[in-house]
Amino acid sequence: MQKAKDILKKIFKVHSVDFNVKLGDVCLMESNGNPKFTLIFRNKKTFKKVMLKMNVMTAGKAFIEGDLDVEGDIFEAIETCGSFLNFRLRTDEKVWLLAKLLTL
Amino acid sequence: MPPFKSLLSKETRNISRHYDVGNDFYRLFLGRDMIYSCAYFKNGDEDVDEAQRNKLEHICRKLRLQPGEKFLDIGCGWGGLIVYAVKKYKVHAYGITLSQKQYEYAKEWIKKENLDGLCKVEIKNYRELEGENIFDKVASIGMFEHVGIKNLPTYFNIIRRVLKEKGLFLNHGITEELKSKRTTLGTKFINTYVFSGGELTQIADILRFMSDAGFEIVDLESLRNHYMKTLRLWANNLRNQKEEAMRIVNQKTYRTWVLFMAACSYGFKRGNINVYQVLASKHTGFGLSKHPLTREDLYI
Repeated sequence: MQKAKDILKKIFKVHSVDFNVKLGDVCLMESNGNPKFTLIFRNKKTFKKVMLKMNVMTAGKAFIEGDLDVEGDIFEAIETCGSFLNFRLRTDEKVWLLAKLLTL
Repeated sequence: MPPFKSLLSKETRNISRHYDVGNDFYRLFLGRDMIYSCAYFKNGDEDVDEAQRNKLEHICRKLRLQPGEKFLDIGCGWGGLIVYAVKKYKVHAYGITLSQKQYEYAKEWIKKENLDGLCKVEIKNYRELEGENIFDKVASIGMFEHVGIKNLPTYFNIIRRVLKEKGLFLNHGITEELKSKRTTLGTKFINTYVFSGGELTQIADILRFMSDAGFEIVDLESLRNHYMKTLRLWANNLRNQKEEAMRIVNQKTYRTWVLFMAACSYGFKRGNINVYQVLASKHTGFGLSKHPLTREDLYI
């Protein structure tokens, strides 16, 4: 799970967030205060898929299939995720991310 | 199958896939009048039912409906506007839809209200509208997103043909703010899971198509903030009735609609998409339009 936590840290690149991220029952990232929502990846496969192809299509499909869920304020969740989806990683970051995901 | 019939079947299939999910399902979030387009908020605190009534009234006032006028609603949904217009403004209303379930619901509603003879609904494609100079007023609310950009000139030409000289037409629908050369993944997602065949364009294109078809644009209003609020209310209504929804549709359908409405709400908030009401008069080339000098009568 540490690798999954490292991935999120790299992607969100911020020290504090106002939401939680869980993989199954395990908390990967925690809000400092009251979380506005919790993003729940139901399984490792979905986490890998969404991290690898971070776009509306992949995340949206995972949500409607029930593999990705939101507890709490769904509007905040979409707004937050919307600002991170489709973002561009540098080549070295892509290599790093791929290596982490392959060994997750 | 001849191309025209094939085209009509394809358009009917696209509409049916979205709107025939089930009337009971839509009732869970659309509210009392089953209206599936942007509501109109006067103070921002209204519930869906009140805001939708505001919208119906706003449209009828913009069209300056008068007793006895012939009124056409293209893509009339479950019949909310035609029933309201007949009851409040005593017009003769005719609504067309491609959805079997909407048609059945509207027909039943008209019968229940004893409006047979004043109000009629049919399953019909706008391409099948016949005749010239038939209607005093025409509305198309939240329908033209299904038409397709390449078909817009045909769509506006047909409406112009069936509208009487100097008659008023209100076109209400979603537009995109920035023109993208490629289909975005968001659009691809919506076309795959929500609306097949839907296509958005910019308001400038809509105005140009309407002018080219011979309409004089007399009023234009953006309702972006209103649609953001409407979608939030719909999504919350549906989420609050999850158990009931799961008795009607499967989990995938429920989650698709929740996501679609919440994501579109964000789209309106961000400003990627907008929704406009364009009021236009059939331009005859001579003389002034019948349109009032000011908008004051809308707000009395």
